[in-house]
Amino acid sequence: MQSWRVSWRNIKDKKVRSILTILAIVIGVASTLATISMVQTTNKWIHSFTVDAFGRFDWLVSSEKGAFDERWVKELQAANGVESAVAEMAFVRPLDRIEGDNQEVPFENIRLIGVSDLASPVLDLKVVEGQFTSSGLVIDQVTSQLRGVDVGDRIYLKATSPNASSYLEVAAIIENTSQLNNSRQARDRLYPVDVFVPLAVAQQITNVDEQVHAVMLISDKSVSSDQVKRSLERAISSDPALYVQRSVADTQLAVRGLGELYQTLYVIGGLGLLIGSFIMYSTVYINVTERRRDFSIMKAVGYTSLQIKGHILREVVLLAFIGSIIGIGVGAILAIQLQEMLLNVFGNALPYEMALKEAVILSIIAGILLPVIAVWSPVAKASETSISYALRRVDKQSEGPKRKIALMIGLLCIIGSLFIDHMITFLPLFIGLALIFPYLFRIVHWTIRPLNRLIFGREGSMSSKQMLRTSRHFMTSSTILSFGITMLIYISALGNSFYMNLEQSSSTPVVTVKYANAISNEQVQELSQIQGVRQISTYASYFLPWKPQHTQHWTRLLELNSAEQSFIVNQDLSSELNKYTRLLESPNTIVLDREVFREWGGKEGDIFELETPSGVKKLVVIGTVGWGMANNNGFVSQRTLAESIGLPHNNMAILETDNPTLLKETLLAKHDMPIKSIGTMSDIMFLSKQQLEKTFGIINLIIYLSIFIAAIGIMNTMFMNTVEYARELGMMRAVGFTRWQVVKLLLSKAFIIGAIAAVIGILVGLGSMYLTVIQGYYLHLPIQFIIPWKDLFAAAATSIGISLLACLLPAYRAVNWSIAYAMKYE
Amino acid sequence: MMIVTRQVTKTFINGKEPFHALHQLNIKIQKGEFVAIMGPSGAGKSTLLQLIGGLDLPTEGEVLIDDIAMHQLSEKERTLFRRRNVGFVFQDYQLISTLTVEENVALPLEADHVSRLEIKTRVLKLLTLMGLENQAQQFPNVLSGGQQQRVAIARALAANPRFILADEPTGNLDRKRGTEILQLLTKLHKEERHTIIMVTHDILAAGYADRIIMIKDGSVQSDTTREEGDTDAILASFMAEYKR
Repeated sequence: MQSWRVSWRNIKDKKVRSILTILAIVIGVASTLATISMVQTTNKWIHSFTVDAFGRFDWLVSSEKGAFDERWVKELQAANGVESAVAEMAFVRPLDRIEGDNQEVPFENIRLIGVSDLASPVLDLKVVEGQFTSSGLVIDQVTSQLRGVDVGDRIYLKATSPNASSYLEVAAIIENTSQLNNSRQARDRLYPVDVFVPLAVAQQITNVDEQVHAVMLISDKSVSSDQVKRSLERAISSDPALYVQRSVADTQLAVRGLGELYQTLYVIGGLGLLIGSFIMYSTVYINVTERRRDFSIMKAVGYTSLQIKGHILREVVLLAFIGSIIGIGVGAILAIQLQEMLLNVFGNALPYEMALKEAVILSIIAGILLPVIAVWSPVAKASETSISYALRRVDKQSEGPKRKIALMIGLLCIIGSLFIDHMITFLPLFIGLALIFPYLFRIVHWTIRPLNRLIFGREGSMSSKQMLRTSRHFMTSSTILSFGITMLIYISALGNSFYMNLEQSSSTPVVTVKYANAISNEQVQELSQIQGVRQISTYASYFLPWKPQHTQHWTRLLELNSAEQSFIVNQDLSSELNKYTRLLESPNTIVLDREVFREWGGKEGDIFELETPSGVKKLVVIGTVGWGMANNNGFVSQRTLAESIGLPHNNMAILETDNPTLLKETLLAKHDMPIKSIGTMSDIMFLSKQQLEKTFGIINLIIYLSIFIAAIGIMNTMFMNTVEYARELGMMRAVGFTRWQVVKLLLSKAFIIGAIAAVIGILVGLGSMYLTVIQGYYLHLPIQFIIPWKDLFAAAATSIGISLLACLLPAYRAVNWSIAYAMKYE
Repeated sequence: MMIVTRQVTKTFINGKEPFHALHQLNIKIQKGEFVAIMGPSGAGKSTLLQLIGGLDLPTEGEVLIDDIAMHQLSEKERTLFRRRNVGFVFQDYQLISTLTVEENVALPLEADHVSRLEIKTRVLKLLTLMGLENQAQQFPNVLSGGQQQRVAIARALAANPRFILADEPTGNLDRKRGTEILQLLTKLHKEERHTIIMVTHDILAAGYADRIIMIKDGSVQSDTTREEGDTDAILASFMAEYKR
């Protein structure tokens, strides 16, 4: 107990050092917690979204002609094994205004989803305010909150016929649901606002009495699936246009680049841990170096090496405990804030619960264990100090052989990272970089010496010389900062490349029209008669759950397309997909885009499991393709889609035209079509860009956070440096150095740290990007090597600026010590 | 250069209690003198040296150097004054371990932005004077204590100061090396006419000085020059006091 008390007193006596050490632990714990929690929360949220979107009902009955008679609903409800059924009729209408709408960007369109029974278990809607009525409109919480719409407010539609109601009144507000694709953000005009209305109201507005677009059914679980299907088919057998299929997800959720994001989060989380450990190492190293004399005295009076180790480790454990508690609080706040931002990027308003439990446990383990591991080397060195060695204050022996081994391991790590086709490649790259950093530091140091001298004059030369001789402390900070700059440059170069791809892809002159159900021949005919349409192709595109290898959950939705027509939408894809056209003719084969392929974790020839309307299907993966940013896709032949997967009906139309924007406007004006969404390639690209910007925005924010963390590391080093060299700084003041000259000495050191980190970070960042391109990280995806000049200057300025800023406080402290006090400082 | 302290008091706050390190102390030191300041531990010797060197300011009274009141100078002016007029030699040498011998000696000149060529010439001359010309590129930690103190003296002389303040310059050295350093200081005093003020409680060291000022409890107890009296008797009485 006494020894713990002594340790606690030591901690209290060295307040600045203790605070900086705690800060390092807080950084490590908070970044671990935030990363793990964010990844787990997002995964859970996607899983619940998938369940909500996919598992709501069991069967769907639609017509190849589009709409069909409402009387079939009763027939289907009466079929054997049917528990409940709801008829639906959805269409988009132009919106005049929403009463009370307080957003600057108004909605232009509204998607009215007319349903026969709002209270049906098929829909499972949960009323928050108001109640369902026979004429009132139902909105979700997100629309209510975003637009300031309450029960009783009116939504005015643009009049299209004399019979059409000019407004609808909000009767109820429901909990957010995946059935309404409303964003929590005020999005652009491309998105309509989704609302439910009673079926009769929808029929009245569209002027099509007793017609529906689909019937959704929940079956009795005690009756076998085949039996239900047979009885449903019997019920509709008199109308050959009607067909039955298992439910498929009805979603526009585009969770693009999620795999990349997870990996980036893990890399950045790991970086946080690494930075925290580096700071710990550096602090404890300086601490034990300063106290070597104390340790030698302890040894002289009979302490063993183990006792000395225990003495230092007790302090570290106490600090780790305090740091972990604070880190958990900080990490939880950080995770909650970043999670909110992340889910906003995906634009969905479904509720989520933060997954913190596991993250907290792992963070505590990391918070206690990592400091002990990080400080083990300096602690071991301190405990091995010989009595006479420390008492004479002789500097340490050369570490030549160790350095050489470190250099070799470092080079191996870097070379190894070139062969890893994964974001995890950053881990060996950073480890390698850290190990060879002393050499890089010296090389770059020599190159920036003239600039340093130009800026800081004689003081610059002096500090430069000193740094070369005591580079160890400064290298830690510079390494940390260079990691941050590397990530910044890499992400920036990658982002720029993606933007450029999107710019180049947006020129295809087509309009894609997604129908709620199968497209009938009549509808194709109708579309072909619209002015400006040159050619029409139809194809199938459905969202189906799939599971990555080595997991048990159907966690994600795959956008499954018929391969034969997909290429029309994307020219880049056509050449790649063409290679597989013949192979795809074999039944049960699939081509995946690389995003899905990587996340799936298998290899070509392996089985890819897909939850389809015909049950779980095992498809053989025969290849991969890239589709610009429109990832999360799978491609099968129309035959596989129809025969094996049970989705024989095309629901997408591609209209080739000279003026996509004009054609889109024309289509939007035709309000009676059961169209789910209309988009041009530039719309898709615009949305992709928007999402890309937000995703990269978050990643950049996290990177800037890690750079900020690096700044704390530098401040720590500079503080330690001023403390360690307090006597020398005092002596320099005594022999005639002015305060400003001492400040210049310290600033020059900070400049060197920042400049070296900038140079190495930029070089490694660009190098990584170049490797990504040539190594074919995305293989055929046309990633280009773009040097983001603006970002290079910004990164260099950030690196140097943050380093200089971090030095100001220690410098201020150093020059305000009394000279006599500084010279006596131990 | 005349150094005058007039009614100088220096008070430190030790916990809540004020502690007078110097109390209304008056001394005058003429140009070219070699003065030893003696006294028991805690008498205020080093504090006096710091005030004379402009490292610190008195709480009351004034320190005048050639009629310039130190407390009237700004921080920067005091630094410049120190740089050009004062050479410090400390008991624990205060050398920068990351700079070579040559670079350590050059420090005051670097601070003054003297040309590289002149620095080179002057440093070499000083190192030769100290017998350290072969150690110019060595780091301080490989030198003996005596050599390190000679480097410190060379640094103190680098800016060609008007007086040298030495705080226990032989305190960390054995008798033989201590004598070497004292002989060196005497040589500088005799040949170069440097004003030297040396704080010591080593009687033998004080014996090299022309004048001995004894301080006790922050005040001057005695002030004797060789011409005026028997310094040996003073030293003997100090010894008796010290032993008691």
